[in-house]
Amino acid sequence: MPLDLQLVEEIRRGDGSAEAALFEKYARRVYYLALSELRSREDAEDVRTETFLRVLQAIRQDRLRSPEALASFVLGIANNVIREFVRQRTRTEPLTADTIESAVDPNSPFLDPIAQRTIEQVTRRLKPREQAFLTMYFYEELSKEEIASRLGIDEDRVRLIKSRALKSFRDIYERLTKKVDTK
Amino acid sequence: MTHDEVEQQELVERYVRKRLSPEDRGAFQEHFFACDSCFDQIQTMERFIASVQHAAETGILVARPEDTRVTTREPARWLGSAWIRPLFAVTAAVAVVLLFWAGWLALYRLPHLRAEMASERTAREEIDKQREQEMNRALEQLESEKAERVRIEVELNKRQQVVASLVQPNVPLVMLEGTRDSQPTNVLDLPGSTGNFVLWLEAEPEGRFRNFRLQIFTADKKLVQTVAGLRRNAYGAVAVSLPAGAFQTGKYLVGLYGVGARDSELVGEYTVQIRKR
Repeated sequence: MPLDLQLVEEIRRGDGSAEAALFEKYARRVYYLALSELRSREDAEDVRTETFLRVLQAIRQDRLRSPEALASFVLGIANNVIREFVRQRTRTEPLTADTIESAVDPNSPFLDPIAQRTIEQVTRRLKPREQAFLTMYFYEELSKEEIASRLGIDEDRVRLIKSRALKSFRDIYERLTKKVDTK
Repeated sequence: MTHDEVEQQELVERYVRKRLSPEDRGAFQEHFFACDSCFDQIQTMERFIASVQHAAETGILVARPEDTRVTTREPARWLGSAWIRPLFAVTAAVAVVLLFWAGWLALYRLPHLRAEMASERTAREEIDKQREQEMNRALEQLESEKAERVRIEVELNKRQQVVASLVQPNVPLVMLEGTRDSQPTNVLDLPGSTGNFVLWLEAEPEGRFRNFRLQIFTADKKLVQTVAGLRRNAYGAVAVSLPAGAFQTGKYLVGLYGVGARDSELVGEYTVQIRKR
């Protein structure tokens, strides 16, 4: 992946492939940022498009003061675009009970079918006490102390359960993703 | 911000669960915008938390250890589904392999083996047959050689009888055969009262020669008898009558010469053992 300074120079010279490289480097991050804030794939794509338009314009017009800090520049523009989207949304959609974010977003944009299959397989490997811990910690959002007293497990054990469950999840998710890719 | 700090302060989880202060959140965003590893961890954490929440919501995850409403049970390690499926798969695979092997044996290998054995048997029978034929041919040849020998003996006997009928009765006669190392010396027994004896020699037709001459020598090359002007008789032989008194018991060399216009040529050489009684 080319250095940011090199990318900026090439974009200034009108190199189309450099613009594509810039997009490839930061597009996923911008999309993730927008998705985690706006919880909408459509809105996240719009934010991504608008962000890169503004970034490229700024580079071509030589408004980027420090090419070495290109990552921060892109992040800043993305956050600005996200805030504008939020403002626009609150203006057009008044806050109601339905629009207030609940503890659990049933339509979480990060919950894809592979993730669902993955958690089912992870669950089979966990003892009931470990499953209960995950429920209390991530779903009921109880404190570690409260969980420890209910389940009789100490903090080190808490870290271990989380770490093992997360590692299992990552490994199985990768395996299932590869299977889907090879089909 | 170092990765040790990220890990120790559990920044990834706290960021995803929005439990960082605005300043720390901004700082971590700056970090993961430039760090692929941390960005990947965030993606994984987002999916993980979303999945756990969904699993808890739908009852896949138990809420309390004593809950049995979720059918998921921790299997004994050695009987866990993670072990059983591969075990069944391996067993099924082994069964399939055995089935194919049995099928291969029954449908291919055994018939081939039988065919090979039959072919070997046929080949052996063929060889035996050939040997038998060779033996029969050899026997036939022996039989024919024997028959030829018998025929020759009969012929010789006939000739001797003919000769005997031509020559005076009781006159000793010997039919000389050519001198060869493997052939026994011609033997002539002369009774004491014998006046003459006859030597019978096969001779070639006179085409080249006008007549034949016979000369007889002792073993030490002394000339004993010469008979000239001899001609072939009707039996293709030269028959010579010689006085018995001229000979003693002993070995004699007989030479038959073809006499041409200018010279003579030795055409036959014989040895005779004369035994006077």
